[in-house]
Amino acid sequence: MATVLTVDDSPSIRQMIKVTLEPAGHSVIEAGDGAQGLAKAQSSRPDLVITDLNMPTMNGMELIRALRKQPTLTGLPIVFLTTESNDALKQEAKSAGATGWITKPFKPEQLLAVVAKLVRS
Amino acid sequence: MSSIDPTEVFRQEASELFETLEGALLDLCQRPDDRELVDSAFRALHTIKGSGAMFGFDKVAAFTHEFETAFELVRKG
Repeated sequence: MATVLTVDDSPSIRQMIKVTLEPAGHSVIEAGDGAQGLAKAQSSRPDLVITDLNMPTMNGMELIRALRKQPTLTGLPIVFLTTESNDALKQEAKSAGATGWITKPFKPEQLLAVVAKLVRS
Repeated sequence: MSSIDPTEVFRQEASELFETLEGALLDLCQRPDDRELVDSAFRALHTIKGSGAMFGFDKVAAFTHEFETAFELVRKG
């Protein structure tokens, strides 16, 4: 079972992730922007980070770059969850170090499949 | 907390976002060059669109998408 950090400024999206993953036995930690996400990733050492792109204070792209500089978080899977489906942005995300990309709206099964694929139990 | 229906959370969130959006748009009438107001209005629109689509409010999402596209032109000056 995995510990998943959800970083999104929309509480309903964080709640959606929680009600999808918790019944499957995963624990979910929440952060409302990139800066909070960075702090929680450092303190809680999640198995997977799911982040939004457009957020106040620190956006998802900046968060990924910051996480990839953390020597203690090497190999941490980071997935974008965003309404954007622009190819240039996807390419930028990949170069920044993103592991994957999910477009909103997403189905609960999709999210569970991503967690199962990226987190080794 | 996890037993709360995300759609209910979205309703609550959307009403707050509409207030933020309304406030930002009204303030923009007075201070049309205020970058922070433009960003705050844009972020509210973007979240209404993304989370709205997530919870099946397709008409809201479609309308907000058009609104956001128009507002993007403002944001880019």
